[in-house]
Amino acid sequence: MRPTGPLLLITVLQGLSGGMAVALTTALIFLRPSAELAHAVRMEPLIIVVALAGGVASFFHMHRIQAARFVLRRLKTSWLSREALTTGLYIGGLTGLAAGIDLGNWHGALLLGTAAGVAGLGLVAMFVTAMLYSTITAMRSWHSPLTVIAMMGVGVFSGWLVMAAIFAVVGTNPAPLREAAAVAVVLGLLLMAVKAQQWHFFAGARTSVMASTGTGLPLGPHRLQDSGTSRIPYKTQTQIWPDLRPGPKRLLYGLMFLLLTAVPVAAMGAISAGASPAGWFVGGAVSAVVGAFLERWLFFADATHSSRVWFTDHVKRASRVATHRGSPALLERYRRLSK
Amino acid sequence: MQLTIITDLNKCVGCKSCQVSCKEHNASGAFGSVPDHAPYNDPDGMWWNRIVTMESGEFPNTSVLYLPKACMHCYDAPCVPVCPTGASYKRVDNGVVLVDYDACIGCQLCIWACPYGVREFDEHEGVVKKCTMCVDRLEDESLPLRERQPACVQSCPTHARVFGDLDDQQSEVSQLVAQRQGFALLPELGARPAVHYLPRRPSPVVLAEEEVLKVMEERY
Amino acid sequence: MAVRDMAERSPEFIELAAPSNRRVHTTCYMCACRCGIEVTVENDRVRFIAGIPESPVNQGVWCAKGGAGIMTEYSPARLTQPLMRDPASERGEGRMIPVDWDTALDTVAGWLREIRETDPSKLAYFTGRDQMQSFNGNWARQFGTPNWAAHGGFCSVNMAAGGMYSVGGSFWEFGWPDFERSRWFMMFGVAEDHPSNPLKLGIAALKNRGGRFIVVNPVRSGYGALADEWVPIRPGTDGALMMAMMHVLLKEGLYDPDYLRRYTNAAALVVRAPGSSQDGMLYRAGNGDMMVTVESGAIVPFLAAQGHGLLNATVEHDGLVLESAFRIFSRRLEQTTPGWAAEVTGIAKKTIVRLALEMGTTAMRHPVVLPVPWTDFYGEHHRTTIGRPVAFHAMRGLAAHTNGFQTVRALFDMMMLLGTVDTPGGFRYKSPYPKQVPPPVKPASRAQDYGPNRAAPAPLLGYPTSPDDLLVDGDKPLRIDEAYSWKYPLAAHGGIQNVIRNAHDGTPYSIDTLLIYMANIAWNSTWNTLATRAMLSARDENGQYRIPHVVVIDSYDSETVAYADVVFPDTTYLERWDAASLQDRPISETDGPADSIRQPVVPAPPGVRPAADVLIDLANRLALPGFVEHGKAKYRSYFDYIQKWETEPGSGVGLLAGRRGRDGKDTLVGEPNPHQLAAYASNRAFWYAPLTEGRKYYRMANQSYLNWARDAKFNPSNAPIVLNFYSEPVQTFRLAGQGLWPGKKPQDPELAKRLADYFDPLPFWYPPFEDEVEGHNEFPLRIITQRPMTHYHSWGSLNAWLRQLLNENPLYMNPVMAAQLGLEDGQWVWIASRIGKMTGKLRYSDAVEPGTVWTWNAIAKGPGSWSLDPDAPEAKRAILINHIIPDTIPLKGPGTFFNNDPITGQAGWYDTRVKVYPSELQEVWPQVAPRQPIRPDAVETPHMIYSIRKPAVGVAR
Ligand SMILES: Nc1nc2c(c(=O)[nH]1)N[C@H]1C(S)=C(S)[C@@H](COP(=O)(O)OP(=O)(O)OC[C@H]3O[C@@H](n4cnc5c(=O)[nH]c(N)nc54)[C@H](O)[C@@H]3O)O[C@H]1N2
Ligand SMILES: Nc1nc2c(c(=O)[nH]1)N[C@H]1C(S)=C(S)[C@@H](COP(=O)(O)OP(=O)(O)OC[C@H]3O[C@@H](n4cnc5c(=O)[nH]c(N)nc54)[C@H](O)[C@@H]3O)O[C@H]1N2
Ligand code: SF4
Ligand code: SF4
Ligand code: SF4
Ligand code: SF4
Ligand code: SF4
Ligand SMILES: [Mo]
Repeated sequence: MRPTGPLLLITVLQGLSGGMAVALTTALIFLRPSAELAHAVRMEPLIIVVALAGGVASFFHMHRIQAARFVLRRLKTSWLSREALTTGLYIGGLTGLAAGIDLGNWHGALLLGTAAGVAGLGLVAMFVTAMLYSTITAMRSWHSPLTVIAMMGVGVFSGWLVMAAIFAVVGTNPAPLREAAAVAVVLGLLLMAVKAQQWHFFAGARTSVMASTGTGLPLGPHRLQDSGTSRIPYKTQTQIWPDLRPGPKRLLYGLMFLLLTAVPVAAMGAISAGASPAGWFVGGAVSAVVGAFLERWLFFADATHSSRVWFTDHVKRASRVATHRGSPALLERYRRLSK
Repeated sequence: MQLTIITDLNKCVGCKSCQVSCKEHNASGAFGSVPDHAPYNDPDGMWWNRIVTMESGEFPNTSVLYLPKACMHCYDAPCVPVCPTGASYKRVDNGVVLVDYDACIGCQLCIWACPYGVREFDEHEGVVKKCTMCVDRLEDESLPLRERQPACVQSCPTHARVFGDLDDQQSEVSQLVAQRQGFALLPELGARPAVHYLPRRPSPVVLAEEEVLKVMEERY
Repeated sequence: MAVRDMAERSPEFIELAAPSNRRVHTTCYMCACRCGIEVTVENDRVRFIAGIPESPVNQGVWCAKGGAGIMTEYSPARLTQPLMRDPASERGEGRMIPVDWDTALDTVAGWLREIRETDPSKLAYFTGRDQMQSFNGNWARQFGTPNWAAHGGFCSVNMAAGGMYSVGGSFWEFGWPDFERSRWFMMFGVAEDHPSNPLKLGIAALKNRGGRFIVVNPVRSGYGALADEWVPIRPGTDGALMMAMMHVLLKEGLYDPDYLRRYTNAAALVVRAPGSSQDGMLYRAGNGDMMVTVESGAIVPFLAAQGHGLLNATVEHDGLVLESAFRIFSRRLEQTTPGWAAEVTGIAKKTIVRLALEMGTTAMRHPVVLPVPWTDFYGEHHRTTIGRPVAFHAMRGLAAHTNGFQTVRALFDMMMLLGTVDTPGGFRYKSPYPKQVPPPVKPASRAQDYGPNRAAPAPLLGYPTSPDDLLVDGDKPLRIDEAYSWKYPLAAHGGIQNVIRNAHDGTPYSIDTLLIYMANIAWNSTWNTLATRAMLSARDENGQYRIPHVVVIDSYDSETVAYADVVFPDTTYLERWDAASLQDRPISETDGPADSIRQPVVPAPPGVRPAADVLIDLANRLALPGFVEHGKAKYRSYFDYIQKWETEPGSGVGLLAGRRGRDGKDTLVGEPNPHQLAAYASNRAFWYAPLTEGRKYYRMANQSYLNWARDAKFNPSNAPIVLNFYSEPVQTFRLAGQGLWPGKKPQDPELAKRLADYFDPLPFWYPPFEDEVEGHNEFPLRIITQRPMTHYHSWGSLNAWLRQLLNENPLYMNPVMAAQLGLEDGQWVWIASRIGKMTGKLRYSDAVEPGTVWTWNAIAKGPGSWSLDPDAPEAKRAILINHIIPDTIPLKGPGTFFNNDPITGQAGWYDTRVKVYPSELQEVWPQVAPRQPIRPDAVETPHMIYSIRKPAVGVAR
């Protein structure tokens, strides 16, 4: 599918902000009642900015803003309606929290409870967004729980790192930061595993719709013989996008793994091993955020839509399970008998 | 009632008449326009019905297939529930799936949700458009009777396209689907398309193989 | 303004101005099929184009091109005013200056006047895919030049002539498979063909009835996709396949002897006297009757034998050896075994035998019997009409080869063997055919027939029946295209493809003005394209253009417009009066004659004029006979001409056959009707008169039909039409080649040899000329093109909708061949023929025979022409194989031998041999210099919305 700026921004930033909220809430829990708490509380508006940037992007993703008032009409069926609602609630929650901290001077259980609630909303919003993608049956690469796990994973991981990096920069006590780094190593490794699994799934999705059921012609190879209007790309059909060539694709995936997981995990490892946190955290966080954008770009660009059966050739593939083995003796015996 | 168009692949010659007559009607129809990008440069326009040419099999056992592909007006149209605004809807009275441009925000989620790649995005108007089963023709009582059918059906030079109600067991389309092993595309995706295709129906050699072999052996 | 200007010149336009919402009936011109269309106009813009349900041609359906006519009407490529070449520019650059009509007309009339007063043959008038051939032919004839023809020479004259010399009719507009009744249908070398919608309707009808459909074609495309069996044949070898199938039909006795005896000259006795002027001629009685032998051994006139002439007879009589034509052919067929043909065609022997058995059995064992009584020319009454439900159709796959005439002859002889000519379920004529074999029209053949200030004494095209009819002066051709010369004796459609080189070389003579109407001779309808373009702009030693004046009449900014000195901008088909006439290529149906009209649907832009009106204007200025009588112009416009013109004064036969007579009540023959066009216009723009049941079949022999056809003036008499299984006219040329013909004979040995070699009165197969050229083995593949259903030659790309359907064309190759050559899908390759090379992008396809490569025809465009961006895909990604199609063959003899069929002069487009190998160049080559598009604003339009509801963006006029 064709990747677009607004979609990249909204999904990456929404995840990032959600992850930051989760990290913040964790900090609130574990830092209490330390001096760092004050720092932590002051981070709140930042999360709002990130979330709002995503929200604004999503707003401009709408091509007809005059119809925006209808977006909640289909809460019963549309994950997009739900996304609008949950992301809206989340941003509202964030704002409420910030206002509460500033004006209401919340602290203690009220602060913690509200922050946890908002972080929870963030996770729900992330989940709903991810469900939006994962429930699209036609987008073969996305139609899997992996989509939800990976999307939330990227959000939490990148948000966690960014939040930790900020703490590190503003000079938080290194001990909890080392613990945060250790958590990040685990998260990063898990994410790597999930993404690897998802890459594999994407590859499988490529062949999961068959030209034979798409055309009624059983015999492969199937070859598309059109030029002109039946050939991608159309400017008007965004679900389809020319295949990435295998070379560049491998390169991009490698880069994505490197930036999103390998570099951050290594950086966190260094911190756990005793390196001074600020520099490593910032490096790791920047790498993860850039990696998250790349991950999302690939998520769109490399996705296989079922309609691809009418846009590309389908080669005849040999069986993947056949072996060089003659007919079993039983069959031979049967043949002899029936002679 | 579920309106549908059946295409007989045993007769479709891939002439793209249906593709053009669709554009021709809808350009100025109730659901138009159907715009074109860079019309005299490197063109890429909107079409609600596109003909795919597919070749399959190995020489000399090669098949060449033409597949006209427009909205399938699915029973369980996946494009409908995903739409946040309700702009995409399926009419209960005739099963036609339509887009209400006034409510559409142009999010294009329905484009991704449609398994068939038949929805297209109009960047200028900011809405998604697609085949309407020509409801504006069907319901326009000022038109002569023979024009109250989809433009693509009216124009088809091989009469490969047949229009009718798939829920009516007696209708021509139902009978064709029943008798000629009509099939829908990508059934595994569960959208339950109303649009069906009739498979190729080769006419066999008029002589028995043995007869030919006998003559061959005896004289050639 | 627009309407007023038109009204001043032709009052008939006034009607049009009326209501702004209307439905107008007319005839489509997006291709030569000529379907009836109903055009809905709203707010004075074209809203919708649909087929007319009652039209016998298209029965309410329409094709992609037809519907897209809207975009042709509003194309920015339209020419909107007369143009003259900027004197400071070279021909071909395309720097044109708008001028007013008087200047343009005065200039051209000046040139023409001088030519006409000195030597009219210095005008060469050639037309492309035009639908005004009757008018154009008459105009040229009245001008007095022998040099006129339409595009048939590079199109399908083999198909036409092959049929006319066999059955007095042919395929496409002249005859047609009986789809409603045939059970077994074999199609040779057809991609799209002229009757586009009828063929689609027909195939659908066949499929509905479960009929069997066989396609013989190196490529499986278009209709071929629907074939029940695809027979992938090597190009140029169909003749061999047919000869082998006939071998089987004969051997198995699966043919119709009765039909052959009764309706063909298969039983006619042929004189066997090698070395004498009688050799190979039919043995005739003193009164000219051809003779047959009957059971008793007597030799009797064909008609007297009442269909009992012996098919296998050899007799000695009068000291002559006489042998029946059938026996001579049988002997030849003994040699043409399926095994032999398998080697030639690449089709398995078993397939050949089986196909022959299939057609033979279907014809002979499963006849169609209709309860329709009829009486034949012997006076014998038949209670039923018996048909052979085996039908054939063929087109350029047979025609566009240098062995095409004989291949088409083979096909018709095979149809005669099967007894399927004009029978139910078989091939059926379209009115006004059948005609005599060949039709009795001949061009005037003497040099003195063409001279200053007079009209030519006969129509300019026709069918010679002996060398004496040729337009030669000794060996020297009288026509610039060498039609009807020793090189191309039966060039019934002229030889447009020979004109530019001959005019450039001054052989057989130089010309002054080349007038081109509706032909894109500087691009896709030319061969060896770059060389031909160079000839159009070549100068002689004095610095003068070798072709001094080039005048082009076109509606759009084609590649050829750039080579014009003067351009007359024509209207579009939705803006003019016109007739699809029986005098041209008919739109009749197998059941009876039909014709139709065009009428203005929308007003023309002020600066354009209908081509015919311009030609009439010129004729009036030149006071051409037939146009000006007693100093008075007979016709003000084509509108006038269509209604008033008669084949001969008082003949009662004109362009339109319906609604004749003062009151519009006569059909076929009747006085001119001054309100005829109005009558057509208000009757869905067509006229169709199905024949009565008893006159629909066996028309060559059906006495009731023959009588009727004489009265309808289709034929000069009601004489029997005997099908030419054996072609005596063809034999006369062989005699001339052998030096035995008493009349005209060629002097040059090469010319004589061609006649002796190829003018066989019975069909035979020989390899296309390209297979004989030295070094041909270096070029192992054959390259051909296909007509795409969505494009009509070069007219598609000016259309914003159609060009989206196809705007680039790869070179399709069988992957097995590609593997052998080490080539990969998507790779850029060189495609080299013996005359040059070009690049293309390779695409695998299993739907092509391994020895053939192909691409779509006429998709590539010269950069900047047709008001397209010079970087448009048509210029940058599409390929034009015409660049490497050889225009000539290396033969020693007078002048140039074109790559043409030696009998008809048909261009051998599909004989080209090539080799394909990897290219280091990753782009289209060769490229011609870009031109400035005539409407730069349109080229830059980023987004177009065509709608009658809102002002259209980007197509403003
Ligand atoms: N849409 C559309 N329709 C058209 C036209 C157009 O440009 N576009 N042009 C019109 C004109 S002017 C003409 S002349 C007709 C032409 O009508 P067609 O003759 O149908 O057109 P071609 O594309 O020349 O197709 C020739 C076919 O013959 C095959 N062929 C080539 N060589 C051989 C051979 O040796 N043996 C056999 N068996 N097959 C062979 C080719 O593969 C091709 O399929 O179409 C008319 N109709
Ligand atoms: N490689 C290859 N080349 C081929 C063929 C092939 O099969 N393969 N086919 C050959 C055959 S069969 C043919 S018939 C020729 C066809 O060749 P042409 O007869 O030359 O056909 P076009 O190229 O379409 O050119 C027709 C011209 O008519 C103009 N025109 C269109 N409408 C009108 C109108 O209403 N009025 C006027 N005045 N002009 C108009 C167009 O602008 C265009 O310039 O091509 C031949 N060339
Ligand atoms: S084909 Fe696509 S657009 Fe049409 S109803 Fe089905 S899902 Fe919706
Ligand atoms: S683009 Fe329009 S119709 Fe499609 S889902 Fe969005 S709002 Fe609904
Ligand atoms: S039914 Fe109407 S809108 Fe749909 S494809 Fe046919 S012509 Fe187009
Ligand atoms: S109009 Fe008919 S024959 Fe032509 S492509 Fe469409 S369905 Fe096929
Ligand atoms: S077949 Fe030719 S004449 Fe008929 S509608 Fe199509 S373009 Fe027009
Ligand atoms: Mo042609």
